Amino acid sequence: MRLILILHNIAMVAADTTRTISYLEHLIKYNLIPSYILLLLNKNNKLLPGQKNSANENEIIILLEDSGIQYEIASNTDINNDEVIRIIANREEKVFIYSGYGGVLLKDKIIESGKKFLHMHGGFLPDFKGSTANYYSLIMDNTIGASAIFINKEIDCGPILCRRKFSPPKKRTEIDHSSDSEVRAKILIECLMNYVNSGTWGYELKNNLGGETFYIIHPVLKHLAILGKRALR
Amino acid sequence: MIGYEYTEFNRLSNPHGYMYSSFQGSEFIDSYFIERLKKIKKFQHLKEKKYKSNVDFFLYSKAAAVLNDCLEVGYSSELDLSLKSSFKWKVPFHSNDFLLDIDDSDILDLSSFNIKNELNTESLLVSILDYQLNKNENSLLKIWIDRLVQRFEVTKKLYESYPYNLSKGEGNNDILNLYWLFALSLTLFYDSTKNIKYLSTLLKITDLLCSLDVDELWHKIPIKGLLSVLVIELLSIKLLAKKIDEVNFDFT
Repeated sequence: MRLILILHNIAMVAADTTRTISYLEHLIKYNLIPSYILLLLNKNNKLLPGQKNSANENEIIILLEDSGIQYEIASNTDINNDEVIRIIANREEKVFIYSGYGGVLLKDKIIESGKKFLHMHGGFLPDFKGSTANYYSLIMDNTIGASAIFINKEIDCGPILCRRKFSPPKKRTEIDHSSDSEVRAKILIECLMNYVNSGTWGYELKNNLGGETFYIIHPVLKHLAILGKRALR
Repeated sequence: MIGYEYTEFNRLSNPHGYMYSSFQGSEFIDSYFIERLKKIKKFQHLKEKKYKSNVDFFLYSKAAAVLNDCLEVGYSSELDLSLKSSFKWKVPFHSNDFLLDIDDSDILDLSSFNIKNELNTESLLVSILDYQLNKNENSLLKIWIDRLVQRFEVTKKLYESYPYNLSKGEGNNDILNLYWLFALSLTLFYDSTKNIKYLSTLLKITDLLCSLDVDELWHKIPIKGLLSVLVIELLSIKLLAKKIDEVNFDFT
């Protein structure tokens, strides 16, 4: 029988997205199980940013049920919702792995809830901040990256726990829902392993200042990043 | 053929979010080139308006020289003959106007703007452009351009003014001159920095301008100036695409 390592001080807030599935698959594979997951389920037919198809809900619940992870379904998809904040604030865990819907920023109220939110940013920090940063880094230096940070009030400026650059993905058409999630999941595992081994949250770079903040890449440039096989600039 | 949806509707009244755009292959790049070339051909036949304002004349005559230079030097290898005839931006002024004594005294110095005060967007953009055209220094420029990029990217609009801390914009958000001035500024900034971030925002602004009826545009902004901006944008994309075998769009 396989022993399960429950991370008692660590919970997770998870949307029903392809990224969450990737995180969960890696957490289960590496036997690093959060003690509790709050699921922000989208019950509407319209997909939210980060969802590929509406079948994700079942896939996540099956994963959680099969692995015996304790979870709860929130009444709202928005982490900034008062009821969601109340549930999180009342939990004992101090750190929440954050995997919400795309484009959602954590507002002051949730940031000040007394919990730390561990976010995997898709991009090598501090150089590539903001949205779709990995498409920009593909054009600029033909790499992608991921960085683990604790969220603070400035976007992608929290202290960096670990970060890494990766070779460009073989299948560039699947960056949004596959490669980007996978590199983030790898960094999540690296970060949690460091925590488990040392018993503390160590920082690779506390001072996450400077760099460039990017915004959703224009589709023409996104196509060039996908079609290109080397740095274009 | 794939359509270029980003200019299909009026993007001033129906902004596009650009989020999770799907991959459509190299045909999508072709559709971008085709749409932009259509616009360029339309704009080529329009007569340039006369500049009645001293500031406009002062600024645009310099900008035209810089853009023409930039096309001749930076993009000459990509410049197709049919495009070459289109890009010369000459800045005519009204013969009755007395413009001999023009200077930049009507333009505020960029360093005089303060984020703690309410900002008039047009004055700020004019100062940014004046700074870009006259000073060889990018750090103050980057701070202000980044602030406007952030405001535009969040709302896909430029407002008449911004109160304290550049928070929520106020006043009209359909002043075409603001979008034009910002497109011009981003073109110059991309040309000097080659930072893709500014090309990305420029593409969104030019999508917005190209999505409007030509009649709506040409009385309000210098159309030959926009033509130069579009040609530089197009050639910038062509230069980036040069290393991609699948993208081999022929402009002729």
